Amino acid sequence: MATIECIDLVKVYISGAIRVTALRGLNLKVAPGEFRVIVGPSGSGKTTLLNLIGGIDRPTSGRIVVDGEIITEYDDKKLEEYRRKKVGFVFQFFNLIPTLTALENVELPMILVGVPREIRRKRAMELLSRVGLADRAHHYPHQLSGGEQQRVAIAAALANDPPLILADEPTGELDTVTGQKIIELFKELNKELNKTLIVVTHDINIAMYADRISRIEDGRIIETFTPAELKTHLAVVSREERIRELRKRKSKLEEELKRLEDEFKKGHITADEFVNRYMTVKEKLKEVEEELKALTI
Amino acid sequence: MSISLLKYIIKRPKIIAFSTMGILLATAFIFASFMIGDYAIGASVMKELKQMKIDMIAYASGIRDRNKIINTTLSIEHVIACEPFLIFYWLFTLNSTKGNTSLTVQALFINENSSVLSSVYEIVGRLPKDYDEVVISDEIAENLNVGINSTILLCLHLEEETELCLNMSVVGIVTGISEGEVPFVSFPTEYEDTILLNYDKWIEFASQISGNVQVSEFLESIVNNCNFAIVIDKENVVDPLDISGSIGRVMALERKIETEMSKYCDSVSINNLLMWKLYGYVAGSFIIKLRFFVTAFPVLLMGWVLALMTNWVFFSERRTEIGLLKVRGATSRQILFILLFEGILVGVFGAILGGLLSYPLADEFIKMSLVEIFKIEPVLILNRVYLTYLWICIIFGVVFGFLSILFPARKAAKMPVNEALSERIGAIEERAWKSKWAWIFLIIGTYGIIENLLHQYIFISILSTALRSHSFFAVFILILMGLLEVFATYVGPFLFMYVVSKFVAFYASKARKVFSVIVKPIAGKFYQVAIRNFARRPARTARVVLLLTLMFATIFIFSISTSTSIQTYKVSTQFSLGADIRIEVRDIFALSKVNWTKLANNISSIEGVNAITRISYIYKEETEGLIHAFCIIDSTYFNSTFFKMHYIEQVENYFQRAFDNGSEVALMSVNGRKFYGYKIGDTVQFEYDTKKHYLRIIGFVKFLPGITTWSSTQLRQVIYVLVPYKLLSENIIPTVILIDVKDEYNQTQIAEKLHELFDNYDINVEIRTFQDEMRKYEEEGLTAALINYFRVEFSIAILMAAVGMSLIMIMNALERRREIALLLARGASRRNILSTFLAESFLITVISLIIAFLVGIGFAISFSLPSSFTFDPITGDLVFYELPPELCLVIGIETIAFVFLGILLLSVVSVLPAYIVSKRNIAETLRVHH
Repeated sequence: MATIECIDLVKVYISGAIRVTALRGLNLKVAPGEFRVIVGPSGSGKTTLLNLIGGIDRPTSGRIVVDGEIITEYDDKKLEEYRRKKVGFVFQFFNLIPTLTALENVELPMILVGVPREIRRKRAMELLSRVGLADRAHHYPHQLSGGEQQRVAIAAALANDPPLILADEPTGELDTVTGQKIIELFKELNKELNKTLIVVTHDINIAMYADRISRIEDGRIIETFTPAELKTHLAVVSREERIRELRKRKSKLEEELKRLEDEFKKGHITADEFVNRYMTVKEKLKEVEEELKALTI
Repeated sequence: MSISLLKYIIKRPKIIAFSTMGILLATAFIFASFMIGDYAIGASVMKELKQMKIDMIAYASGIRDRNKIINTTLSIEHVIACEPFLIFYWLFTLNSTKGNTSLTVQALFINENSSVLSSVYEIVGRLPKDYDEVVISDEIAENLNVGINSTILLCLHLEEETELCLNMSVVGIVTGISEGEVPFVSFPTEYEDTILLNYDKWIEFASQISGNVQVSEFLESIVNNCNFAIVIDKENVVDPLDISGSIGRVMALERKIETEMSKYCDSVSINNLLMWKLYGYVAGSFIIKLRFFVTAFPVLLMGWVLALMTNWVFFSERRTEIGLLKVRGATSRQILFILLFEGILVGVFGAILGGLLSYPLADEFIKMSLVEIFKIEPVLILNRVYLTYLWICIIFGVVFGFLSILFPARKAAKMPVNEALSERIGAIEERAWKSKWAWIFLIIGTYGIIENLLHQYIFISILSTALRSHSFFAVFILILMGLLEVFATYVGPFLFMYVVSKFVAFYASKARKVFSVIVKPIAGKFYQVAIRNFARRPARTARVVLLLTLMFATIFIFSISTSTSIQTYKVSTQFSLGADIRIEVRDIFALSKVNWTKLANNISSIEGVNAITRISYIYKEETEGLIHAFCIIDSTYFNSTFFKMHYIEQVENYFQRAFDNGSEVALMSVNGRKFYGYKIGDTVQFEYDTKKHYLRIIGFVKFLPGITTWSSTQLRQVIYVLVPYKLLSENIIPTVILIDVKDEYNQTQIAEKLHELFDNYDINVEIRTFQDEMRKYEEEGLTAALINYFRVEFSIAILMAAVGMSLIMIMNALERRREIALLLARGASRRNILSTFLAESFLITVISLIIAFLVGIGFAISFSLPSSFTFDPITGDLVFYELPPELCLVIGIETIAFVFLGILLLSVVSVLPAYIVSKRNIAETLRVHH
């Protein structure tokens, strides 16, 4: 179990002349053994927050305190040790090494900390059984379905028995049913193994499994509530208001697409850069359009 | 290392295939080169030792028991023969029985069972069995007009002008030295004035007549002193592949023989011919290996660049994976260790494969190019060295693998996790280049190339100034500069290649206009895309440019050097000979007795002879060390094959007629005009046979093939004055006769006929032909073998470059599959797409070609062309002279062919990946790879 406290977190990305502020003085407190879900639209700073808590990135300013220790003051070596012992990560995709079997992927974190072969093999098998994949232990990632791959990733994240599990859009690449199963597995682990769990998602249905839900927007936690409060909240926020907001956002994104095309035509950006940015904006646009569609039907 | 991690490393066929390729090809070529070197050394040692007849000559004095010396020496292990002999010089004269001819000869005392010693000579008849039997040379036989079974008078000259004369029966005639190597010292190899006598019988005979005091001294000399020709079992003592060890064994054997012999005599000194022979190979073997290594060095460098490039590319591709490892808890050190281990594993794997491949490569090459020369089967040597090399290959693979992965692995290990996992940051490879050393490298490299192009002129001119200053400080600075000069001229060009390839890639955007000229014809309206792609991953582009530059430089350096060296040797030989056939008269006195007109007619009557030129020299020293070399020549000299009319400057039109008529005219070397102020119309006084001639200068000559080197006519000290032969005509004897041969005739055959002709006249001459000299150069210098070797090297270099280029283009095509799909979706044709890839590769190729050409030409000039300046021996200044225009860089058809082949292959491999990607379904590509 781990207690997490983020105080006035600011994160600014600088890429050449471009400055992107991902977090703007974010504050967050997660209790030990809590299952916290962070929701928010694309580009709101969810992943950045998770990376900072997980020690794979450093904030521009602010502090993160984990179990009373200020991890933002750690040097690289201590941060490595923190990641190794205290954190288990599950990403949206690319969670597994393609050349290793499911069992070997789960074993890998234990190899890195020098767990003897017999012990790690036994534990890896236990973890795979726990996620229901004992019979798939010797399969390679490409031989597993998306849901199975995520379950192996969860097992790998649990390998060194970290008190904190961080999951970044773990169901993003999965269909609804499989996503549901994965989130149930998370809930189960949270309750049975007493792990502190922070899951980043923009899927409101998943959020319903959490102990508490924090809504992040423009790099700040706007509000935190329980799933029960969320239901009320959703009812309160008027449908029309949301539609207006989404339409505004949609036109902004469309303008962004046009601007990118112009820049590409003028040769200000390379084709590679154009494709990258174009796809990202397009993805955001798709999300907005889907939500709009759902609300307008 | 856990098995799981090992699996993590080795289950990457694509990486292993590409990474291995560079190491494999480099190892195969380098170790094949070493094996070829071993063969060349081993086979030549084996060949020469086989021909060696006597290995040691021991001289013993104060002998107590000669037979015991022989027996005890023979009982030593590895001694297979020990034969006594003795030589007396100037003690014997031979007289014909008629008594009208007397010859002083050297006597070689050997026994009739001396098989080793007698094998040195080709003998008709038999060896002498009794004291009154003698073997004489065919020369003596001819002079004394005797043959086998004739009787001749042998006189032994003793002190106080007494002599002992005996009637001897001729039992054999030496007709020559047998083929193969004979000892160069302590044994009479000159057969012409040698007689062979029976050693034992002469001791007995001298004992019988020992009443005579002088004879007793002679007897004492032949009884108490003796030489022993010793033959060693070389096959077991000498290991052609371990010369140093063999020398040790031979020396130990020498000490043992000396110790054993000393028991039966007062003193022994051994001339260890075998050991000296082997010593000659110590340096030779090192030089051959060094030469092979230096020659193979660019391929080694290419192998490293290719392996390094592959690692950078694949680490970029595996960026997220490395990030995941870090997230899972791997420390930077663990990542570094894993990656280094991976590199070493791949290195060892590649090196073993390369090592295995090196054997057939060496074997095939030797069979193709060297077996004919050495007549030794490659398997005899290759099997001996192969296993050792295979072990060395493994060590080589470890080092090579380590060095090729170290830099990318360090970068990957140090990479922050968020960067590794970020989708926005594309690669591990650097995007900007800030090398502190760049400008220094560029300056050193540029200086090195300029120095190579100018034959180290800058350094030598500083050297000249410093030496003249007589300052210790200047000399000290000079020594430091000397080291820098060596570094700059040999390593500098490689630094230049490295740094320029980086500059070109990282600052490509600044050269868009220049680049567009190159790519526009290929990419058309998409030329901007091609240039942008070139600059997209600058670090990667820089590496492929460097790889290609190394490949082209290898071709340029070695092919141009080889063809130019051959041309340089050809021109040197032309200058040394002066005509197709050069006859140096050794015996001018004999020639003086011959009627020249008759001899000239006889020479002209040989089929194929075109023209004859006589040359004679008269040197006259003027004041202050100035020498006038008067070269008396026939007018035919100016029409000979190797003399070019443009060698003459400011000449009067009638000069040839004047030479024909024997007028009092002269042509002077250009240094007369340059240093001593002679001009047309001046006269030079020439005195011959008490008659004074005032020769009017009618022209100046720059080069005089057959008379002197190309520089001598332009430097101080000796002024060459060409004088018409006809002016002195019958009074002067030629020392050199130049023969021009008609094109289609065999010069060797004509030379043989000339030999016969001069033999008939009894004139001792040395005859050299241009064709033979060139053939000898090609055979002894292994030119043909070397050309074949370079062909293999070029092919491997091209293959490596193609692998490198295909790797880059595959990665480019994969990384840009979305872009390709997008372009196709927007109406671009497949041809458009391919043309951008082709244009990009063409741009890389052209840039590499330009850099490589600069470097290659510099090295080729430095290696293969003579310089056009030297120190003036009088003033210490640098003096420039012109080189004959025939001495120039030769860019042969082979160079062009290999460059063309390279470009072709590179174009194919660069378009293929794009072609495959462009054939994929557009919608699928856009959907899947977002």
